[in-house]
Amino acid sequence: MSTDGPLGARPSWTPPGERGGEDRRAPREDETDVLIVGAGLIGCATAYYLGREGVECLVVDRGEVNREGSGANAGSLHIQIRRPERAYSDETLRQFIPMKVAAGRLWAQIEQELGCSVGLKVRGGLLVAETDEELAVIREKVAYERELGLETEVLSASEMRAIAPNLSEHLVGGSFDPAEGLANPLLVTPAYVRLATAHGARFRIHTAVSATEALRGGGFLVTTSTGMIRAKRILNAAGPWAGTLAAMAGAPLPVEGRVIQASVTERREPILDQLIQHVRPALSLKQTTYGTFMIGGGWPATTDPQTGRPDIDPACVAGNLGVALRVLPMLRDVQVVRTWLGVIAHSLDRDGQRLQIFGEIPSVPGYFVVAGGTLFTMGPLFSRLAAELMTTGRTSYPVDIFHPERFGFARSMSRRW
Amino acid sequence: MIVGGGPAGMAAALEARRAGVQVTLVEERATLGGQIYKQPPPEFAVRQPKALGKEYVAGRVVVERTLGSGAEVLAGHAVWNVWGRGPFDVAVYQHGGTARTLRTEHLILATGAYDRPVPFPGWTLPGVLTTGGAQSMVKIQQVYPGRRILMAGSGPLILAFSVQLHKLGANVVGVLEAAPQPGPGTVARLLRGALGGNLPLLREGIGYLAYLRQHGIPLHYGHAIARAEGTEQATGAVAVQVDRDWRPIAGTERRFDVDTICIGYGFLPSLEIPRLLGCALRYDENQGGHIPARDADFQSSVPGLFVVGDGAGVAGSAVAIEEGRIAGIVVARSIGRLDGATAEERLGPRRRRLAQLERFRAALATAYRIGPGIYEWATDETVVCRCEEVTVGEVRRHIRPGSRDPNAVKSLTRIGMGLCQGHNCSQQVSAIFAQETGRPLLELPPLSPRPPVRPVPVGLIADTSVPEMPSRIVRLPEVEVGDPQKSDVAPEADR
Repeated sequence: MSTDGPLGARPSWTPPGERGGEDRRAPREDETDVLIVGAGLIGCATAYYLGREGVECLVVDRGEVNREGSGANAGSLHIQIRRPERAYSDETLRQFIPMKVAAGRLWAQIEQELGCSVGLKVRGGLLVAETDEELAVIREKVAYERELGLETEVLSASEMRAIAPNLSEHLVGGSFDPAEGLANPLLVTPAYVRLATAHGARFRIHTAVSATEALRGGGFLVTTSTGMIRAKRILNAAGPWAGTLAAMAGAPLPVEGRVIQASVTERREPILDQLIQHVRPALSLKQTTYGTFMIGGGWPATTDPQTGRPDIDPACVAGNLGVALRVLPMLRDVQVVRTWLGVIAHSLDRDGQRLQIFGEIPSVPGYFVVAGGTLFTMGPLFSRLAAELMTTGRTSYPVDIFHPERFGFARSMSRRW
Repeated sequence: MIVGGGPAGMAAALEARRAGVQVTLVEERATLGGQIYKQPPPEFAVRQPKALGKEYVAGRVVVERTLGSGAEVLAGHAVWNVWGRGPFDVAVYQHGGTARTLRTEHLILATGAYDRPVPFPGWTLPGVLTTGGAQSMVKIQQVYPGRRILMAGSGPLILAFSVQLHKLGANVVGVLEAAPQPGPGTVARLLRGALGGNLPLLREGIGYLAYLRQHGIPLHYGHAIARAEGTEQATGAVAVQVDRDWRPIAGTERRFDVDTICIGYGFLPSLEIPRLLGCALRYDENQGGHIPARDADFQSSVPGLFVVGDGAGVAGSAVAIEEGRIAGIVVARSIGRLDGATAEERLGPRRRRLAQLERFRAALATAYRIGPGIYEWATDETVVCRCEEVTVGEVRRHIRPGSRDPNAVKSLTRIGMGLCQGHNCSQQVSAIFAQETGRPLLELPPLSPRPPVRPVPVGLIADTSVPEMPSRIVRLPEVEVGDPQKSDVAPEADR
């Protein structure tokens, strides 16, 4: 069993003295400097980074804190280039890779920053190949990555098994990135909430935004299901709903939600340290600090024909588990205890690159957006950059590839490898 | 297809077979029989059937009839997932064997109930067990729990089991009944309920009371278990007097020198599959909390899906048998194996018997209604989730004011994420959530159901031949962004 017990260093939810606070006594009209819409990872982390700079924040969410994509993702920390990113232009990757490296560094010390355990395990990630053709793709990818500053390397089958001895013997090799790993999404956001609250941020849950009016002379008047809110600035951190929400402010953005699924097993003794991905059939596989195995990789859900609602697709559960079993044969007798659905935001820039949207919308001054997929890995960094942008007008990394103006006219692109 | 080989499932199978319907009966245990007719596993030879109780003997007959009925019986098979809505695809696997998916137009769920977990200080100590657990020990392993036993619970079953244990030679030192001593009004109601066919049931109950008196086993009405003492093992029990709502009365504690505490506060229905399929639910504390809404034929809100027996609301085996029969007959009729007249002929007596039983059940439910105090016996230090070792206080601390959904606590505490899949804690978590937020228990959504409904080995359900993930894109349905009610598209994040 893991030594990092489930109750170990769990962040407390509301600081002492806060209970029965803002939610029940929400005033009819509220005022804040920054209104953050969406209490997911981005919203809560940015509330902390802004609060640390003395900026007043109010975070609202239509539902509860850290549900949807922020809480339902599988907690992989992806650094090396993954399949969707193989379609990015050189220019994009030159800007994106250093940010990935920075995101990895931020994660490596996040437990110190948050002051608690968040199920972090940064022991590297392996992208494995089952065939020589797949390994050839990896070689090409790694050569390119190293040019751009990533520390990936190609490992032979035996080198790979030296660091992950339980991987299947039929794997021919893979690429290794020492900065990859995993964390528990269920612990990260609450830790940010605790810190944000300590820095004065307020949270109002079950508060849905239905209108956003930009006021003459600056600022916004926002209509919510629990009353009006006046805000000098707005941060739209609404994940898959960011596009619809931005449209209320007059700036529609191409963001959609896609429903995927993942599975988790019972606990076992620790036998796997790395994040494991597959170069061809989608797979993310890791053993959490609790000892459970998380098996995902973005396999799609299905739609219930009768209700029209997303539902677990048993064939995709079987396929996803099948890839995991091919890679890690000891999973054979490990019991799956749950599968679940998660939503990922998906946004394509005008060049058809699947990228996050980050920045202030030029036509709506004071209206900021951080949205898009794979924001678990990039979340803490983007949140920090958002706070920088909102307090200083600058960011410590160039972010123009994510600029809202680059989204909305997507054309398709072919994949690099 | 019928899931569950207890009284309800076997009754449904027999009626359906009688009408010539092709039946597959899936039972998780190695033998048919369910809890009440619990049969030892096949490798056990039974030499003294009577010692195992009259249910065992009666059950043996029904089991033999079912096995000889022509129904395909898949014993030792667990259902781990069901999808589709008529036809239903039912995924089963055999313990230590293989997995497969069976398709059926009509699905009768007779999945039974399990002991209501009741957290109180010390409830996780070895030596504290449920009547179901103790019954299994005696009936299957023929092992007696403990040297000195205190029984604590409510309702006829705790009496029945106290008597059964004592007859088998166990040293029962006392019985705690949480409900108050029946007054004249209650007795009259029970009598009225018993008239018209239920007298044997009442006689049985009176017989238990007489037996306890005869053998000097004290029955303490209005008393509940306050805590189990001990560190490695239960070394004593403290009982406390409770009011009509089962709330402890200060200063009434009394200690019992026992090494075993046997808990029987009723049962909770196994609702995993109905909830997975999105059946409409209603709430009845005395039948186990959330239970599926059903029509007069025991069809759920999902057409073609029938839920019968204790799995649809705990009412005991007599009711379960009648419900099972009715569902079996109705399915036979709906696929044309029985004409309307024959079906009515067979249904009539069953419905009449059920109406009689319902009167008695209602009277019993009044006499032994579950007091809301039952959710307050645990202290903040009491572990509520045994798999993940989460305490009541831990749950309380993680409930945010304004929160509406107990699932939010789950993701913060890991409660209900362990191997028992929330069986042992979800009711209690909802109750704590209700106390903390002031929302009525019946309005709270139960912890979200997700397949597999039983833990299933990766190797049994994995498909290693899939070359590539399907490129299908499932978009979020259009949602009203401004509507707080329509949040939680992915209502659960657990791992």
